[in-house]
Amino acid sequence: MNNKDLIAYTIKGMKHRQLRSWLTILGIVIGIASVVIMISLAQGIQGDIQASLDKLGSNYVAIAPGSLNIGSAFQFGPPKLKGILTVRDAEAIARVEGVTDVSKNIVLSFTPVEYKKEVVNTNVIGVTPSAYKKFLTIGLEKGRFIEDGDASGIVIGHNIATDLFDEEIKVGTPLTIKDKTFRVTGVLNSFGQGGNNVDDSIFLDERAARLIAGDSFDKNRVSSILALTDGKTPPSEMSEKISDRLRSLHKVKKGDEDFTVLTAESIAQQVGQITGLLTLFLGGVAAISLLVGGVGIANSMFTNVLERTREIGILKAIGASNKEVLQLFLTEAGIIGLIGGLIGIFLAVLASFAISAFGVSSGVSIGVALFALIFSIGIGMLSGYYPARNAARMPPIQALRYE
Amino acid sequence: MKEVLKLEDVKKHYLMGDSTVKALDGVDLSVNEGEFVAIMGPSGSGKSTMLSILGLLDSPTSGRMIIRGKQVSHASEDELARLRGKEIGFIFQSFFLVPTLSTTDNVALPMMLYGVSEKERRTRAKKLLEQVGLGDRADHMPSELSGGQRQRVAIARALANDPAILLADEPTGNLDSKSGAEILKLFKKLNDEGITIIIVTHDPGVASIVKRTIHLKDGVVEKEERRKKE
Ligand SMILES: Nc1ncnc2c1ncn2[C@@H]1O[C@H](COP(=O)(O)OP(=O)(O)O)[C@@H](O)[C@H]1O
Ligand SMILES: [Mg+2]
Repeated sequence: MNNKDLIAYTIKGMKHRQLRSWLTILGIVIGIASVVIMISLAQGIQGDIQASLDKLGSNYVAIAPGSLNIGSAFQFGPPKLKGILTVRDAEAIARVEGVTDVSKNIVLSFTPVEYKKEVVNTNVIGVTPSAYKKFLTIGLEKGRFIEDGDASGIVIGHNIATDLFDEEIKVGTPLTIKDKTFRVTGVLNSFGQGGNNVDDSIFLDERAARLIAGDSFDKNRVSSILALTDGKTPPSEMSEKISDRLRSLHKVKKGDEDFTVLTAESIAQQVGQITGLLTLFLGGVAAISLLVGGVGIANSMFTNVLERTREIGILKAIGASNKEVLQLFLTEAGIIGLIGGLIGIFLAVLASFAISAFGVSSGVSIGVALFALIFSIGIGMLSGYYPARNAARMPPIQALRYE
Repeated sequence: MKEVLKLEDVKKHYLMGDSTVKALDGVDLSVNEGEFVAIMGPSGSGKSTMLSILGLLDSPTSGRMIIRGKQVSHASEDELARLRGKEIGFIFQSFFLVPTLSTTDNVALPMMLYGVSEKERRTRAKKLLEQVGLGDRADHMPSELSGGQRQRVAIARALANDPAILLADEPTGNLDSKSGAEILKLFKKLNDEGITIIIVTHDPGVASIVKRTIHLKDGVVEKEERRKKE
């Protein structure tokens, strides 16, 4: 029998047993679709996080008050959150070798902002403009960044310009923040997903922010410090140098820090740990559904062969060899695996479009699709092999007598 | 006369726990080309067992079997499959058509297994269906046919690879007497055209059309009758 004959015979049989064939295919479809969706989703989430980290560049060290190590979040005991950063710390960091710029950040969250009698609360962040400008690689959509010491200029995030107020806020528009009126000098490009609220923030000079905050914010305190580095020293080394300086200033021992130093690398590492767990979890769920699908296929193949024992007897009685009988069943198993795999991948592609619409970019890569297809054909043929081989070896008279 | 088939002291024993069922207990048989032989005997006398061994569907416990001069007792499974496809056409009491295939595809199936090209097997299947009187049922499915028509399809399929011999195990057993008589007439016609036929039957009417009847009892040949040529 040639391949064309094998396929023609199989298709005729499958059409005749349509319901059973489709049910078997459905088992594969569910298994393959869920695996492909899970893997693509995990890949998409990782890609998104990496992309937002990339937008921040890599030559920086961020210093936050208190010790909150994401990596130790899985350990027992409460994290130490106490500790403050001061202007003195920022100045000390500026003197560390390899540090080119330092931004003293003052975060005033939930601050009322008024435009044409409309008041909304949003993030107002004081920065050292010359340094922060270099850190924020997304660039400006319109206008220019503020200068150091600019007492009346502000730069606004993309959403502030377009969504926050009824009217679009353009360059030159006056906005009132807590009784003080500022003028918009620039609008930032959209950061997109994972941008830590950049799109919803208003940036201004650190000293201007202190004026808004008034007495509620100690004049020596900063919310966080951002140090830009020359890129010659590896980030991990820079992070260690800065930690050293702060430890001696704060008079704390290693391990007892009341501050946290983060680099692009360490953030990526810690985020990677979390997304790694996520991938593992999604992969586990997918593997279970594939296993269930696989058992379903094996079961269908088994009953298929059993129910067709008589047909095997007929085929052998009119001249089919054991090999030809086996070939027929493997062809059927392969076709079921192929159709199930293709439909499963198609559904997964549709699903990942739907998921993308919710904001997580999730695309089915060719590699994943190919793997899924080979797996699906393989599992079909593997689970069809043993029952078919046993049936093919049966003496014809015994197969014919089978009820 | 050329000998097409020969059994020598063929035995088939089944071990059933402590006892042995002797389905065949030393049968000798020689069939020449063009013969039409009937095998009769009470139920359980070993008729089906004998025919299955002749059709290479079953293997004997001991004894020799020769088809067209070839010893098949030690043939490999693949050789047996080829002989079943090429030298023998088997017809069963319950037809055993492949339910998923059309009439034409069923008849073409042995040719497909034998490697005949698609065009050739279509042409031949059509011719064979006409020969058994079913030229107008080429595209029907087995489920759309009567018992008698299904048996005709089975006969056409048995003839597909131009076998040396046709074996039929109670081919009219599941048919009403009218269809049964028509099937017997078809066998007679085929035999007149030169095909060797061995038929297992309870039908006393068969005795009038065959030239030789073998009576089995308890796994041995009890007696043999030959009718003179008329
Ligand atoms: N697979 C088997 N296992 C055990 N005994 C069998 C088997 N096949 C047939 N027999 C026995 O062999 C004897 C002959 O059976 P069979 O050839 O079918 O008889 P017939 O066709 O003449 O009615 C019977 O006694 C039957 O029970
Ligand atoms: Mg019988």
